Amino acid sequence: MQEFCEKCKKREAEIEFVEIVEGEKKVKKLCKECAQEEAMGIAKSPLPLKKKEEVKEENKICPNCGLSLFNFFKKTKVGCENCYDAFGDSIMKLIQKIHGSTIHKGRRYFPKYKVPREFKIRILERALKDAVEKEEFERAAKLRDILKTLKKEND
Amino acid sequence: MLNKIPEWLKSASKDDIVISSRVRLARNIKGFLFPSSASPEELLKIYYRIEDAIKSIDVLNGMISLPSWELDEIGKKFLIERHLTSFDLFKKDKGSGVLFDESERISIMINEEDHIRIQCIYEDFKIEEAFIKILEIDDEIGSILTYSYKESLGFITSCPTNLGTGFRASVLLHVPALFITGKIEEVLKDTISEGIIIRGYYGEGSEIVGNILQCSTSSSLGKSEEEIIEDFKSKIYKIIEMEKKERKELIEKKHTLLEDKVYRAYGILKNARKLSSFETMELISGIRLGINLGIFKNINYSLLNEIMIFQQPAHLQYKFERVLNQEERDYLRSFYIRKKLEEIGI
Repeated sequence: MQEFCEKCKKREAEIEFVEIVEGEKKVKKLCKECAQEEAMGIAKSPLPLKKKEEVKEENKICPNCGLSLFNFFKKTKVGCENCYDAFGDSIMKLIQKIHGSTIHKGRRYFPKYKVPREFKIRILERALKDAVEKEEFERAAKLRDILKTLKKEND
Repeated sequence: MLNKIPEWLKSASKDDIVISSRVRLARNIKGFLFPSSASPEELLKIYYRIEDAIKSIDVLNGMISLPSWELDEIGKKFLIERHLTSFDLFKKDKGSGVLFDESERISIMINEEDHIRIQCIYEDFKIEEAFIKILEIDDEIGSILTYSYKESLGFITSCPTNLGTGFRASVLLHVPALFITGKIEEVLKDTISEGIIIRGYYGEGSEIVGNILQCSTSSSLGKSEEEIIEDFKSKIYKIIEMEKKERKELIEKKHTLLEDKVYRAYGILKNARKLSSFETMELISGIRLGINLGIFKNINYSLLNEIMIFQQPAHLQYKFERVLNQEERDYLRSFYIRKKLEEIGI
């Protein structure tokens, strides 16, 4: 069975590329072209060994606050709101990994925004149902009072 | 404030499993660098801007404002012990602080990890009540200051883990039976894999004491606040059910063991002449269980919560009005608890 190159995943793997990383032997199966590239990389760059694109990525700097992507990964905190645009895909991949999504589905915001009363009523009615089910009568009574006031304001 | 107990500990009901429910929102002000990158001067500028905004809000009238640079070490610890601030708030020398209301249900940290961290705490399992309250405050602050927000990523936060809603819910759960039977290991494994974060009594970086877990939501993006709450509640109900099941079994099969734990806790609290804070938290758990089992009829959870709050190191030092070393604290702690138990006649 034909094995694909671990790096480009396109061409056939023909060479076993042996590397010593932090005292550990690592074997990669690569195609001729990629093996050559890796060898060139090792010859050119002292430790640590990183792909050219990776180094380029890490040097990315947010033009607004001056934080580099490298330092972001170290601190795991951005410096300003612009960082999320400046670091593009690298940070989006991380967000996807953390939340399993990159799309906000919660409440929206614009200045002077007020949460609709219907929304509050819905949340509290669900809580009331819970309270009744669990026989928490004191809580249920208080929730009914809040709901009554909220609904009155609505009229 | 020094002699009061926070509303969320005072109003405790008959439920001894869910001690409290907390929600928090992370917000930042548009156009300003986040606290980790801002200069000290900039932090101060942001601080006063937010403080001014909060003070101008009618419904937040009468908030107590404490800039961190005006607090001594014991003062800072006092606020942490009361769950009004985090440890992290005090990492910076200047430009951070906290505002809270008299009931201590609402607290707003300025320039912690984000410009604004609003939290709302209620007794028992009252996530919804806390959520509605926090929405009202968020509406008010967000209409005076312009938040950093994008349609795609939602509320922009300093750490990507809080993006989107900026929302987190958490509860303090008292689960002694799970600890006694060892089922806790299973619970920890399951809940973590289901996306619930478990921490100790003081939150991030603190150890588990007194059989109390702090369980919180882990994800804030990709789901609405409502969905996050519903999902969280169903997972917490599962832990509560397991605790109840283990308790029932212990009551049926190992009643003496349970009783022994309760009476030992009582005996030590009543007679010891030296008590560490850690040991006291463990013993209070025994008394809490005793109330639930009907062993103690004169003592209620609210009183127990009062002891839990005032036995803490910084609280003790305020109570006795002086700086105390550990040995003095351990002695005075036992003295304070003994007197308190005598007062209520048990």
